[in-house]
Amino acid sequence: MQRANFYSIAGLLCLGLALSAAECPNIPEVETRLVDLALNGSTTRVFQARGSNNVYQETKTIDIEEAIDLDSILVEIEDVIADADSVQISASSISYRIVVPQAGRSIANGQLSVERGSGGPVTIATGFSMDASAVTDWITVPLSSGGVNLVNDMLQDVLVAWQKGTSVPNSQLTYAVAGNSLPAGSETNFDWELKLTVSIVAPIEVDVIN
Amino acid sequence: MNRSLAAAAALILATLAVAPAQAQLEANLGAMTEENVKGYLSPFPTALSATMNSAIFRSGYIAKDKLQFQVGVHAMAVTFDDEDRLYTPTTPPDFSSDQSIQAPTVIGSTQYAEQFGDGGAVQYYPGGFDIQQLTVAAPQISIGGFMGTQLVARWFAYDIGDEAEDADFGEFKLFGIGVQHSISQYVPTMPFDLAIGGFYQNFEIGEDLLDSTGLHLNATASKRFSLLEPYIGIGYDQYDLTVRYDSEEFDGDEIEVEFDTESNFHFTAGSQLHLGPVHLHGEYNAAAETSFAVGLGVGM
Repeated sequence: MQRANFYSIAGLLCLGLALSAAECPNIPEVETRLVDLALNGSTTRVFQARGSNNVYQETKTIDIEEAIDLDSILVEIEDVIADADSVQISASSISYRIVVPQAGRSIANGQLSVERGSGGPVTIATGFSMDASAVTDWITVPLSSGGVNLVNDMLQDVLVAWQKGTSVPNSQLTYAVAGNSLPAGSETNFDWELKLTVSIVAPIEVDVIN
Repeated sequence: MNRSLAAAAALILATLAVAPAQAQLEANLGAMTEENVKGYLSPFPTALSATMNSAIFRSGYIAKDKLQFQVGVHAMAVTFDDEDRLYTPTTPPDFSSDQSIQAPTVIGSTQYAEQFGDGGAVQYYPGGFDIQQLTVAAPQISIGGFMGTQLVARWFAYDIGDEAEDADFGEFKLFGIGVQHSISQYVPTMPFDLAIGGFYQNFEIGEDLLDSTGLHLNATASKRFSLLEPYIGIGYDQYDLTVRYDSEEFDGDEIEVEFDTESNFHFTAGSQLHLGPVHLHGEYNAAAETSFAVGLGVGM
């Protein structure tokens, strides 16, 4: 092949590649976006399972407004939240872990209920078992819709109170746990921790170069 | 500095397209597991590899014993494919769900995605920044003409404020250095100029939020025709990306996510236009992604 032809073909090849390629980028511009930011928040409580023989029952009350402190969860982004009314919050999970174990101890047929104020307990998790013989990582429990709805209603009130700068009405949330403590005939003595995780989405304004 | 001014500065100073949303990006990552961070940021490694490893070597000619010097700015850009805009998140350890969903990646839709779990529990996944392209620009200097060898370097560092109103801008650092050596000087009968080179780069955003290193090995052939100098390059790219962020799940523990090393063949076709001491160039690259680059240099 003659040299001139070689360069012509090479040049055409280059031009063809450039023209046939995917979309050409444009000149970058600064553009504003409303981006849905997702955050998680959680609250934990330690339960001390003591003295129960065979049947274990315990209750713990928290103030949901203090436990789910949206000001602290959203502190890093509050200046750029585009619309506080568009913030959403929902219960994501309930999990537990053993923090101080008791050798050979377990809980069977566990049931967890939640109660807002004195509104009556609603089951949020049932039929779970807990091996308390060793320290564990967080273990998720399967949730029931009634309890999730109750928690979500409270979270909605937390959100509205945060948006309006008011207090959460009827903000006491009581956890009640019950189950069969095994083996029977010896006293229960272990500590465990319960965690409620909430998922939050907030629209924020961001400048990007596109 | 207000946000618009900072944005203009970011453009003028030629930084990374997605980087300005650093603070929000970091906040988004904090709620995700390592695996989902990989999915959310999955468009980054190939896009960064394709852009950062472009427009480095643009000629096969290096003088044997005559000083060569050039300073310039080069802009490299890739356009994202639609398939880069979604990923399938894995269910977080604390969350129980049988539902499989798709969520936006960092360049995808700004709208959040939601996954429903037991009893109506919900896990939200963040929206993306709705970006169609990634543009990286870098100042570059080359000095050579010593036994057919030239040194090439890129360097850039700028902190665009950390006050609250500018929190979506951050610090960018780019450093790259390499060498190119003429092969055609040893073969006087070669009908074109040929050189081989290697280039190492490190690019960081924020306080260790994104840390990446690239290696580009290349052979460049070119031929000067009056003002025009078309060139073709064949090479190999390697790119490593690590992201670090504070987890919200583990009391602020720092999470480090290492992406798989990107290794790929790199083909370049382009041309320089020499107008006295001013040198313009445009090139097409087929590498980790298809990318384009343009640049302007001044020197002799």
